[in-house]
Amino acid sequence: MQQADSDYTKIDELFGILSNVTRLEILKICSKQHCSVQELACSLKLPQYVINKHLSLLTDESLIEKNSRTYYLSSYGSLILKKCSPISFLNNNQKFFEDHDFCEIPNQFIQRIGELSQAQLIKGAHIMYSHWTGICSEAKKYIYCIFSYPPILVSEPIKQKVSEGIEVKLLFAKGSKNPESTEFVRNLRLHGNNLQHNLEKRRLDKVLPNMILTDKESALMFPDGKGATDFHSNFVSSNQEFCRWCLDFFNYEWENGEPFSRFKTSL
Amino acid sequence: MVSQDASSIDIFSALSNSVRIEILRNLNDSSMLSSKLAKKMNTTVQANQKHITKLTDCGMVTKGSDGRLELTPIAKASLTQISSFTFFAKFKDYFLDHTLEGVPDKLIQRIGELSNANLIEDPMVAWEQAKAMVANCKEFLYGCSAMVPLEFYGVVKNKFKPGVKFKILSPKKMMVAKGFYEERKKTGWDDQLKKGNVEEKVVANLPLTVVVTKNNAEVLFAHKKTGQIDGNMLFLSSDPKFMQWCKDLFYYYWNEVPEIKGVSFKEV
Repeated sequence: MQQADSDYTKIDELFGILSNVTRLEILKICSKQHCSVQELACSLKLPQYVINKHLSLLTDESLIEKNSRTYYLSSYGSLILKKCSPISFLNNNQKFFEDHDFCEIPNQFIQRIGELSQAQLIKGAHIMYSHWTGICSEAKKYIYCIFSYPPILVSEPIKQKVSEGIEVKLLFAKGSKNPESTEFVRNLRLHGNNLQHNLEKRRLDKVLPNMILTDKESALMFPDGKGATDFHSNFVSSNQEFCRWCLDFFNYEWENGEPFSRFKTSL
Repeated sequence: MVSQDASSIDIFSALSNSVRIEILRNLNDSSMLSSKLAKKMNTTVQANQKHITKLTDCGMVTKGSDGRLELTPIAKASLTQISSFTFFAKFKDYFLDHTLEGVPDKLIQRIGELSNANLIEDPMVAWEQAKAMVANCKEFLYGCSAMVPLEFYGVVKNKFKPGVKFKILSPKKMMVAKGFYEERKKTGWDDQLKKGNVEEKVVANLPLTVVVTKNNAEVLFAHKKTGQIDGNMLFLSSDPKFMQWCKDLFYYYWNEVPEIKGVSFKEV
């Protein structure tokens, strides 16, 4: 049989250990508290000899350590368990990512993709629109958006927030379908250089996910398999980790964005 | 949440075989026919077949209309995670008695970016390397450190003229040697503080050390048992990914951890 890279010969064994539901559960339980075999058997509703078999695999791999009669996660084990979260996220959303693309998102954000785990996947354009309006209206400090095509419905709440003095940053795709004539551009008076002091716009050659992000809540839309933004399903949450991911991603894109003056005059 | 774990079995079991990992890595470079893949891997189409079937069942490989095997987005994203698992596994002994406390989760998720770093385990070499980093720094030196030795100021005083900028972040309870404040005055550190070429911040707690310069970076973590930073072992590299990770860790402390103002350190 073919011998793979020396780097990976051991890692496949680790993945083998992690590819079992009961063992992952044991790691999770032991990350919260020290547990005896009986306690694990009881909470997992399995006979003790089965638990023992799994525990010996986990201790051999140094993921779990033993202290007299109780087992607990090693510091190495807790790092490995953390790293399992992106794999779980990918698995749970396998269907969604079959026809949504996220490969062009910078590596560091893919590595952190597990931070999206607590978000809710919401489908249906109507529900999404009302969510976005809600998200914008709830903002107290800032609204940051990335749009390939700005949804007209959110222009009113954003306009309202701009007039309240809240910081608004809008990032557009260069050459995208947002000519000066659109209601969004007109309503927010985005054309030209004389924007209100708390409103900023920039553009990027290409935007990947679209997002609406405030100090309270975020919505994230991935492109579909053909590279167009899918406005029919999005991840929404006020979860801190999720919002952090979105904020870091926005800041990353914003830094790459360039200031610009005029939108295209027509489609 | 049992349901969540139940489904994570697919990707892990797909990755639990070194041949399958190799198949994924090859297809990550480009999509190809199974015959070409077999040739590249120095094996036969038949020997690869059961693995390809498994990867297809797991939703990680698809066959395009032209018959080429290609990776799904899920597979690409899964491959991205492997380097972090490999890094932890490679330094398992180190991570069994050291802690990444103080490293935010988002950087733990990106730990694979440290893959090209060397772990220096010889205390003398570690000390020399750390000193050389300061002595050779150009343009900037950014550091989060729970210990600033007196001789640091002696070395960096020659760096002000060439225009090196310093950002130094320390924990509130840092203990410093006798004559610390005197030395800072004497070497011109205080003047540079006023001019803005040197910036300092203090935070409540700092269980690690990270130093970044234009040419390289180092990071040191704490012993699990004592919580003290292990100055005898350090990760050091001039690899760009490693340096970016260290820089992001520095900026996490510099920008995101609340600053404590008006602290003066105790000379002992």
